[in-house]
Amino acid sequence: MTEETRSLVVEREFPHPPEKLWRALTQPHLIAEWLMRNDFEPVLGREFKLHVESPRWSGVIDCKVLIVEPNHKLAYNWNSQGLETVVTFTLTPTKNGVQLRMEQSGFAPDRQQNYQGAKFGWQKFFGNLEQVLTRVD
Amino acid sequence: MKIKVTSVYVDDQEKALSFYTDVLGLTKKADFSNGPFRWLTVASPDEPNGVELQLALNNNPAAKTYQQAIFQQGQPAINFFTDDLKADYERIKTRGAAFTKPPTETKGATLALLNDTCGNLIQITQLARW
Repeated sequence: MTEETRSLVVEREFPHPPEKLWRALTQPHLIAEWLMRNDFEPVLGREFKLHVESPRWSGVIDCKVLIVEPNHKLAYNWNSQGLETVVTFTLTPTKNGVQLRMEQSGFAPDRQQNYQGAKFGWQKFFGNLEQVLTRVD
Repeated sequence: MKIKVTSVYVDDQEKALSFYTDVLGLTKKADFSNGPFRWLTVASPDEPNGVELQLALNNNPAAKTYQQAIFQQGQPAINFFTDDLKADYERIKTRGAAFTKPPTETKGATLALLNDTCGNLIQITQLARW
């Protein structure tokens, strides 16, 4: 019997080329600016950590790269506080730039609070990402 | 109603007392024993009558599982606040503590994490503005 899980989807169009967005998603110093400090590498199977750093809560999110399709698709495991989810980024070129779709899947029914937290978090991360893309060449 | 005491689980109370006083620089406040049970607390020398931190012996397997799990997840068991993290970091490091995260700037604060040698990570936070 499989447990019914929920997915969170956040989408936004950015007026930048897909290659530029790909850099923001895969270069550690840029990821640090919009997401978290990290030791990411765009290599299949690579294990890395995202560091949650705040006056209220600190911790580590354990991740592992699952899909790397340059300028198109990136996915990694996202294991935080005993909850294992998968984050998948899909980039689709548009007339004015690129559409980014982020899907975080695997929220168990008893993880409603994590789902709500992620929903809040990704809105913030997308906002940061927009600023990073505007700032870098 | 007031908050008077909070607690952290430690695997050895004597070792913890020495770490929390000699290394971190807190002061012993209460120390009563009743048979095998020992009520042990420390306080900040800056706030001797402030909230006490109980160093509670972790002889509960369920609590141990929890303690080890959050340690693995990089989560601190307690968060201290300071006005001068850099000075505290240098002082505590000189006394032999192992920092798992040196002072790191983040939004609105600078924070550091260290191992208390008794099963916990401790966070020290300096808020950018009070």
